[in-house]
Amino acid sequence: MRPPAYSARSVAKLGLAVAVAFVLSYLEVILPLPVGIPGVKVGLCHIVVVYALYRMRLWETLMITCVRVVLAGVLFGSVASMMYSLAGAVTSLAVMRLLRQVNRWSSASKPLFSPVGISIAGAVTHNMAQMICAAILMGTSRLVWYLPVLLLSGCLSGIVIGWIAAFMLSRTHKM
Amino acid sequence: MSQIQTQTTRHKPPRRTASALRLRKGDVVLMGLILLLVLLFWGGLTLFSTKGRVAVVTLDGAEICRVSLKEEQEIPLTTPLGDYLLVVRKEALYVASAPCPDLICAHHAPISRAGETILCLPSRLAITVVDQDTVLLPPIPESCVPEKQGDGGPVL
Repeated sequence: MRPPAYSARSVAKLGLAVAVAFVLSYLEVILPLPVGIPGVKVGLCHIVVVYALYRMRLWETLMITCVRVVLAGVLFGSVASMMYSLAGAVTSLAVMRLLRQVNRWSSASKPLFSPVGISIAGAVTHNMAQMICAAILMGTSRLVWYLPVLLLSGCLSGIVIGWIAAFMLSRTHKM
Repeated sequence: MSQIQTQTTRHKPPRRTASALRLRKGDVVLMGLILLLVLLFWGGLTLFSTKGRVAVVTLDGAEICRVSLKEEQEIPLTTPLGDYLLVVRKEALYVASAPCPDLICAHHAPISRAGETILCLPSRLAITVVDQDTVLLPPIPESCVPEKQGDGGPVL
């Protein structure tokens, strides 16, 4: 990983990405999904993360994620929800980055995963990491009942997020 | 990322939507794998879980009463937030009315299998179905109606 370059361009770019991710988090707080399952949401802010994964460097993506999580946690949530969020966000970023690397190793014209696949993997890992985190903190294994629901909801939201991100990637220039 | 991503010139936005949105081989494999996992877990949990006989009601972590699922009954419950009505029908328990604003607990499907839980986060109420054989706590009367106390809190 290259050391961070603190150019005005990079600062502006990161600020913009954080702002968009933050607004999307806020949108989700005021417009929750009416599915009746607590904790299930689309994760609109991950559009920015998937986009950044393709168009920015790893440390930039990591920074956007962390700043967004901390900001959203301070304003809309509690310290506990922030910890869950951070655990989910960082592990999902690691997995998405790994799959992106797999893409690099396979041929450039025919990548193994599209943004949709990468985003599904990210969403599912996000859910799993949060559940494992909650299971450890609460000391209960009853949450295993939630696993199928979380896997399925992660898959669905991953498709939605990945599709939007892929659409945006196809219509924009490199940053 | 290794390549330097800078671009100073502006062109018309590229139109690569169709190929960018195409699913790849890995995507399909991934989705199939997840669906398989869901089916495995869901099937396994349904097959190997036993029907519970008793539901344990806890408020803020403290057990306040136990409800038998073997008899049809309606249990009013008083919490600091307001009044709940728990209903047992066909060996399954559901929340018929709740004082919380989101009503997630009231919309929850009836629970009957050991381990299934209805949570009401606003009042920290948890109703968990247990297989009585696995309960380590000393047995207490299976059905109870909490009485109102001076402070309105629930008591055994």
